Amino acid sequence: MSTIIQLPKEHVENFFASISDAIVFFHKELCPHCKNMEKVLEKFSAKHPSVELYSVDSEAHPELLKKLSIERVPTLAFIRNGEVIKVHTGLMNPRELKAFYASL
Amino acid sequence: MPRKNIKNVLFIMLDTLQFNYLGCYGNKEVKTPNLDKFAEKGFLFENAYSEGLPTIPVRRALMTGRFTLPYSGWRPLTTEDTTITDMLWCREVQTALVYDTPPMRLPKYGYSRGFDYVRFCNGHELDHETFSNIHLDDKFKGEDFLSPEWLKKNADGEYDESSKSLIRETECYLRQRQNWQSDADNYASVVISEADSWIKEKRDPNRPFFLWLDSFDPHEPWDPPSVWEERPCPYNPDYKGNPLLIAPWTEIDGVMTEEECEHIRALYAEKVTLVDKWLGKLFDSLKAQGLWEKTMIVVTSDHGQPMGNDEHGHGLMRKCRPWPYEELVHVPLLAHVPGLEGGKRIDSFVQNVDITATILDALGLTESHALEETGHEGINTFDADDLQGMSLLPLMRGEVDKIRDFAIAGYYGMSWSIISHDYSYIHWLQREIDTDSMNKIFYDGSGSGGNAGEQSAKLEVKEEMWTCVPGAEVSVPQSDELYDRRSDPFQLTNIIDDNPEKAKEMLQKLKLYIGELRTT
Repeated sequence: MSTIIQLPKEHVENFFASISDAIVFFHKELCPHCKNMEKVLEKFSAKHPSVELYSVDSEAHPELLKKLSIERVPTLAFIRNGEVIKVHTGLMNPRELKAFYASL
Repeated sequence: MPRKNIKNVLFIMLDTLQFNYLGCYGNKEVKTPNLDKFAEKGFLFENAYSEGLPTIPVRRALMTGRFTLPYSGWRPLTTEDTTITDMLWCREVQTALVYDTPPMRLPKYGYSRGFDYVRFCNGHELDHETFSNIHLDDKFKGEDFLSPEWLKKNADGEYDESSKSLIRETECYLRQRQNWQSDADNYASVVISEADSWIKEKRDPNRPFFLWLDSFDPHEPWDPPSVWEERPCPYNPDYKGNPLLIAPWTEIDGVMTEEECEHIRALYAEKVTLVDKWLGKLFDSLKAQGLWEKTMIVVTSDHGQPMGNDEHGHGLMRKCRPWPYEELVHVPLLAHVPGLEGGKRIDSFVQNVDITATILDALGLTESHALEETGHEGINTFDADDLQGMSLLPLMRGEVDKIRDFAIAGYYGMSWSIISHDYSYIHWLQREIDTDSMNKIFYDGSGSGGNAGEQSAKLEVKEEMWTCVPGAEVSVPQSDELYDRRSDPFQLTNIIDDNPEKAKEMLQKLKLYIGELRTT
């Protein structure tokens, strides 16, 4: 179970339409890489409180994975003004995540 | 402020010193009285492991205090790497590197950077070409120092390329050894004497010092005194064949005999004894100069060496495959710490990156504020958060019993392993690779001078390594290996098929830890 707040149902239903700036973290219960990625996201979040952070259990939401063509986790979906502007699969360290976010 | 009683640090790296060739690690035949005494009065780490193999990644781990295995392999230092000499820049401590380890010497690689004093001693393996133009006395022939069985001729009656290469390398050593006078001429003797000379005559006696002595011995060529004195090797006196100065990088099967492997190990053991003898002289010199009680001394190695079948090398001669078995990755680690009562054998797992943190701790530089105060205003050299190693001083002081529950080891992009007290586990990213490809891809063609990390930099760890598939079971690759470390420390009987749950647990733990390092 991720300690990051689960993506509220309304965002699942309207496919992020009302989100202005967020990172959605797709993870899997027994995935060791997801556990590490979660720590990186927590560090990132502490320094970027204005960016909303949500988690999605990938095995509970196959429809979202399909919509975003996500095959593996951890995957981050970056949302701006209701649009998914970037999807990234794999690990990043805090420095890489910071640079990735800044490049969007 | 340096730790109480510790003014100086002497770090001694003995390349390719396999732990179980030392008396203090249980060897009953090889004579190593000086290191045994050093261990008896100081600290011996029973479970020390190098993480990323071999020579160059180990040096990077030691210079930076950071793991290399999740990040990169055989490559130069870059400006992203903060080394111990960066951290010691503009401080009271003077730094010196006295070495004969050729892969560290290649200027493009940058592994000698930042030391106040640098002295390289020529001629060891990879630097042997330095002497290729010296006249070789007619009585010395390369063929007489190799096994005739390894030298193959083509249809024209000429030696093939690999045979020529072996003979050429051997003759470079002979060019250096044709005027051999005594064991003071051996590589280890020369580099250790140079270190002693710096301590005695060249350093500033008023300032503390950090000296990194990097001896490529007992790495091959296997050229201990008995070879030059034309007497039997003391550890294999009945051997009748040629001395075996060097051997091909190869799988043993069909290429070398058991007798040849045994003789190579005997010559290697004689080199270990020689290294021990000259270290004894250095220790005596430090005592005579009144430095013993002011100087922390750490002795370790980067790895062992495959030299035969089973526990001697899993069927390999030299590091021609990325196989992180016990005989390669388990290293000796000994320390003398002024002011601490020694005579302790420490059971905790430790990794080579911990040595860097220990050295900084001894010099009083672990607190982040001390590290942040480096150099002139406005020039930051070091981010204290970057160190991954942990100081071993609390273990030696007896304040804690352990700092790690397990160790990791492997070759970047090729193999990962995890070693705990009960089990060891190997996860292969690429197990089978032929010798030429291994040399080209991993070692960057270092035998031909190296090309500054371009090849190995391309050896990317695929992104899938860091991901899982939703809905899929946690699976253990069929090629992975699990061993009972208590009954089978040298990893000879793979028990993975009978222990799928334990294998899964070890693989998960390994991936979790390597991923944690990857993200810090």
